[in-house]
Amino acid sequence: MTCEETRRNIPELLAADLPAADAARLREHLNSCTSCWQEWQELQETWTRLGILRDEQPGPELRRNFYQALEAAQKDLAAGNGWRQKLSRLLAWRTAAQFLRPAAPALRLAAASLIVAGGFGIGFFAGAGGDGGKIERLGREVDRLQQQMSLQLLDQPSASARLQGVSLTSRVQDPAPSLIAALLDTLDNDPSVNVRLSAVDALYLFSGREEVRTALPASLSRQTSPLVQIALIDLLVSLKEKQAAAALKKLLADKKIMPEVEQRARSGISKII
Amino acid sequence: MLDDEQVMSRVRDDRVEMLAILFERHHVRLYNFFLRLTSDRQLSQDLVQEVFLRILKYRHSFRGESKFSTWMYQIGRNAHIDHLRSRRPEVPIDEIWSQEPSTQPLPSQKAESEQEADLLSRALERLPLRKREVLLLSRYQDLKYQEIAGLLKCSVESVKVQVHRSLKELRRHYLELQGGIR
Repeated sequence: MTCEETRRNIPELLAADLPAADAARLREHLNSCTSCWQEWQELQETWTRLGILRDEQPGPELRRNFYQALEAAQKDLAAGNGWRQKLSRLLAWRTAAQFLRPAAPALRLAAASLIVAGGFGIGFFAGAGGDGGKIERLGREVDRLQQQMSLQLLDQPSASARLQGVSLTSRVQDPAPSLIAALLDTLDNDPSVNVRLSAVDALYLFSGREEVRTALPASLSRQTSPLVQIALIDLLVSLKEKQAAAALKKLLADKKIMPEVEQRARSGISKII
Repeated sequence: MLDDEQVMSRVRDDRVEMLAILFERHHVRLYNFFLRLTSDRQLSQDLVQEVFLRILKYRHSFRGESKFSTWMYQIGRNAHIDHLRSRRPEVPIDEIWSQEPSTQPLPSQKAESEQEADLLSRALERLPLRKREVLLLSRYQDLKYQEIAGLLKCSVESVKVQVHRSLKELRRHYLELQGGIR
């Protein structure tokens, strides 16, 4: 190997980006050439010195802003998918035979409920003016129907229907214990990660309920997906749920824990305690 | 465990929540790349945020032919170039890229206990952007020279020459600073 070749290849030797045979030939030349050795020493010293610069941690707002943006993107995507599904259903309703086919009984019932709720609303607004009692009754009725629809959708074999069911719960003002139980069951047992992630978001809205605050830390130990684990840790930390510290410690004791989850759990504990 | 490319393929297929995994794996290193390149903490955070937003926006264009990290740094370079252009629209980008940087030092958090690191950071800041970038990519980002050549759209030989020259120039600045010559 010539001096020129040697000097040209020093950067690759430094970065360990040279095939073994070429590296051996280069080292052989370095050992026999004083000027190339001098050049190598200087470059190696500088390259090694660069290793003393330690990585800094960015501010917490970077992570917060990222997760906010991600959440917004997920919502946009879900809204887009929802619209596509609605459109395809609308097209499917062009014939009564399609609408009434037995393959989608829950969706049929959900649609029927919507029609009932819509009819109720139209009747109300057509019949009378701004009577407060009627508005309240209508609100309660719509809430009840939405809960019913959510429960039916959460029970569907299709993951996208269950996602709709979870998403519908965000409109519910006063969830019945059965709906809370269904959401918690979805969080623990749904086979789809996406549905379980949506359940975490949905439960945030009902985190004022005692049964939710009690169930969330317990659910952490049942989760196997790192994504759901991270989402659940974030939720528990945002709720400053004291019971969560024990659940996080238990999670950290798991030897199979993913590094990203471990990092989030450690940082979560420090924020809760 | 899924590798970066497998995770990104799922993000591409609209499993956007999985971008969180790539963010957790890469954001600190990417932040430090920008920090050493720009010496500006707030700007570096903004650029990391911008990179991940662009990954989200252009997720369907990820083909999986190159490593995820190479694709991410390509997006990072573009975001940085767009920032430079917006700051000085009247100056051609090649000119900005070759100019000697300002010698405004990055305020060190532990200057008294890390004098050597402080000197080295300041020496890095004295390198023109182009040289600083190629050195950071080869030294800290775990990218092969072939991948850096793809990123910078030049030959591997050219990357090697640039790294060689950058190291020599960095050494000169470091020794100058060490001797008290500003």
